[in-house]
Amino acid sequence: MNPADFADENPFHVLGIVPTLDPVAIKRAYFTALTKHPPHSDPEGFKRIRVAYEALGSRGEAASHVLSSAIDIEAELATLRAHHDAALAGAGQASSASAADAARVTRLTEGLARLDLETALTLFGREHG
Amino acid sequence: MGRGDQDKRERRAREQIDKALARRDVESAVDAVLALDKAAREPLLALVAPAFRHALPDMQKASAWARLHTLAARAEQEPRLLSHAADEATVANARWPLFLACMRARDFARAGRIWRLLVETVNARVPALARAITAWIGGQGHISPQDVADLDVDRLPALSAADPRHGTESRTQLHLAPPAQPTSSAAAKEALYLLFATQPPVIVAETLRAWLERAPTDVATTLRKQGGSLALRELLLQASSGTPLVVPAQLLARLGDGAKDDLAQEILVATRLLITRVASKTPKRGESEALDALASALVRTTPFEDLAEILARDFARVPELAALARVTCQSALSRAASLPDQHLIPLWIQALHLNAPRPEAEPEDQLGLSGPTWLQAASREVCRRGKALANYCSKLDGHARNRMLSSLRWGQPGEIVADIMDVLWKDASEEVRGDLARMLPDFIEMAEQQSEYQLQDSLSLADMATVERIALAASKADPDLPFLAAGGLSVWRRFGLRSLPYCAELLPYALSQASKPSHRFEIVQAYVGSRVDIDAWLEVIAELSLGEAAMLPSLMVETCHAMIERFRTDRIALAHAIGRIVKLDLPFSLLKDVAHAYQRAVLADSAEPTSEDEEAQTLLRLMLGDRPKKSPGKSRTKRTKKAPRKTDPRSGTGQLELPLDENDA
Repeated sequence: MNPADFADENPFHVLGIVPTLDPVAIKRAYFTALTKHPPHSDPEGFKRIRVAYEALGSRGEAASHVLSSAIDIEAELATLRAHHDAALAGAGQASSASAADAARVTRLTEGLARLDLETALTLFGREHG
Repeated sequence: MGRGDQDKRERRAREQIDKALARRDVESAVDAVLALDKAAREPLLALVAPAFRHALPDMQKASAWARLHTLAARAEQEPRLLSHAADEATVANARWPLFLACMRARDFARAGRIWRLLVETVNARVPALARAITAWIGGQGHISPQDVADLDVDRLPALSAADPRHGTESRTQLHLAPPAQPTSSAAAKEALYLLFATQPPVIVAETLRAWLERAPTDVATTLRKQGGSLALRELLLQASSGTPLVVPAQLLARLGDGAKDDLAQEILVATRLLITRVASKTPKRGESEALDALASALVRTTPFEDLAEILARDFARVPELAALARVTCQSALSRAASLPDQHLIPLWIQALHLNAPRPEAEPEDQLGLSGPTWLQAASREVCRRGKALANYCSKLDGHARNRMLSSLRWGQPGEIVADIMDVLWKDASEEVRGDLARMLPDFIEMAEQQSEYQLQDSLSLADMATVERIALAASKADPDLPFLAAGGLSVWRRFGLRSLPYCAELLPYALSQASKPSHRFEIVQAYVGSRVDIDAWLEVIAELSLGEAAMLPSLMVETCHAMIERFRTDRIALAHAIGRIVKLDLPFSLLKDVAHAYQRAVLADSAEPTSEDEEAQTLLRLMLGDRPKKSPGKSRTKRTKKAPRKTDPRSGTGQLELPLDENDA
C-alpha cells in the first residue's frame, strides 16, 4: 500500500491519542504503537503509524491537525457535567425554592388587591374558624 | 365673612356636589366639600360620604389605584367622608381599598396610618393576615416567605393569565434577578453557579461582563476560570442539541481575552467545535464571527502564540482553517517590525492570499480601497525589506510567484503596491521582471478603477478642477487607444517604459502616451530594442494587428519593414518568422514582404537548408504558390504561364517557387 493512501487518516486517531500539541506525548504514542506494529512483522501497520507520526512532525502541522480534528462532544460534555452539574443542580434547587417563595408572596399581595376586606377575611378566616 | 357670603358658598358647593354626583364624579364632589369650613361640611357630607364609600370598591375593581391614592389623602383631611353615618364594618371595608392604593403607591407612611385603623378588625378575625400585612408595611412592600407561611395563599383567586398581546405579564413566574456582584473568590463560585442555573445565556453573558468590569484581580481570575468552564459546558450542551453556539462562544472568547493560559484548553475545544461547525457549510448566524473571536483568544495563549508564524503558513493547506489563518496572520503581522525576514515575508504573502476578495465582494472591496490597516502596515514593512522580498520571490516557482503578484493588487492602496513592485524590480531576475511586467496591465486597470471611485468622491465634493482636467485630457486622447487618467497614468509613468520590453500587451498603453505620431515608432523600437530574437518583433506586430486604432496598420507595416531590415541576412530567423506569421494569422501582405526578404536571404546564403527552411518553404508554397504576382498590363494567368519561376538551386527539389518583383530579381 502507498503511504499516500494513509494521508487522509487523522494521525492522532492512528496513534491512539487525543489531539495534543505536546511533542513528548506524540513521540510516546508513536513508540507505543511501534511495539504493536513492528516493521518486520506488520509492514502495512508500521507504514500507517509512520505516516501519522510524520504528519505531526512539525509544530505547525500538529497544530493544524489538532484544530481540524473532529471533537467528541459527548465525551467532553460528560467531563464537564461530572464537574459542574451537582453544584448547578444545588444552585438551581435553591433558586427554585426562592422563586416559589417569591411567587407565593406575589400571589398574596396581588390577590389581596383584587378582594374587598370582608371577602379576604372570610377567605382566610375559614382556616382559623 | 358675613352670613350671606357663607350661605352663598354653601349653596354654590351644594350645586357643585349635585352636578358632580349626577355624573358620578366623586373627586369633584369631595373637593367641593373640602373647600368649605369644617363646620359647614356637615350637611353636605350626608350627600357625599355614602357616594364616596360606594365609589371606592368600584375603583378597586377597576384598578384605579392612582385615584384611590388621591382619595386616601382626601379621607385623611376629612375622616368623616368614611365614617359619616356608617357602621364600623362599612368604614373598614371603605378603608381597605385606600390602604391597598397607598401600598401600591409605596406611600408606606399613609398606608401605616390607615392600617392602624384597620388592624384591630383584621386581627380579630385572621391574626395571620394581620401579621403578614404588618410585616408587609414594615418591609416597605417586601414580605419574607416566613411571614406568609401561615396563610393558605392558594385560596386566593387565580391571577389573570399572562398575555403579552394585552400587556398582561406573568406575576407568578417572575424571573429572578441575577445574583449580586460577588466580592470574594469563594462567593464568586457560588454566584456563578446560581447565575448559570437561573439565567438565560444572554443575561449570563451580560452579568459576567458587568462583574468583570468591577471585580478585583483575584475575583476576576476566579470568574474567568470558573465562568469559562461553565461557558464551555453551555457551548457543548448547545452543540449537542443543535442550537446556535454564538452566545456561549462569544462569552468564552471574551473571558479568554484576559485569561492568558487559564482558559487555553477550553478555548481550544471551543475553537475546534466552531471550526467543525463553520466548515460544515451550515453555520448558524454569527458563528463565523464567534470563531474569529475565539481564534483571536486562542493565538494569545502560550501554546499557540509562538506558533503563529508557522500556523499561518500551514493553515493554508487546510481550507476549513482559513478563518483561523486570517486571525493568526493578523495577530502575527500586527507586530511585523519585530518579525525576522524568514517569517515576515511568507506570512505577509499568506495574508495577501487570504485577503484577496471573494467573487461576491462589493466592487469597492475588490479594489482594495478598504483593506485592513494591519496588512497595509505589514506591506510597508515588507517594502522596507525589499532585498529580502526580491530574494524570496526569486526562489518561488512561477505559479507561486504569479499568485503572489496577483494577490498583491488587493487589499491596499495603489501607492503601496507600486512601492513593492519598485523594490521587487530593483533586485529582480529577468524572469521576475517579466512576471512583473505582465502584471502591469491589471495593475493599471485597477489604478484606473480606484481613480474612478476617487473621482466620484471628488465630484461629490465639487472638486471641479480635477474633473475638468481629466475631461480635457480625455478629449485629446486617441479614442481607439486606452485612455489613462490619474491613477493609471502615474503607474504607467513609473513602470511603463521599463516594463515595455517584457510585455507586448503594454504597447497600446505606450502608444496612447506618445506625444506625437512620430514617437510611436520610437516606442516600438524601445520594446524591441533590447531583444535580440525576432519573436519580440513578431509579438509587437501581432499586438498592433489586434488594435483598432486607425494608425496601427501603417505602424505595423513600418515595424515589419524595420524587422526585415534588422534580420535581412538571417535566413533562419526569417524562416521562423514565416511560420509565426502564418500561425498568428497576420495580414497576407506582411507574409509576402517577409517571403521576399527570405528569398533574398536564401540567395545570398550558401549554407545547407535546415528544417526551418523546409517548413517555411512548405508554408510559402501553400500560401503563395498559386498566388502569382500581378503585373500591370498582364493577366494573372498569362503571367503564371509565362513568367519563369525561380527555384532554389540548392534544394534539389525545386521547392521554393516565389514570384518576385522585377526589382527583387
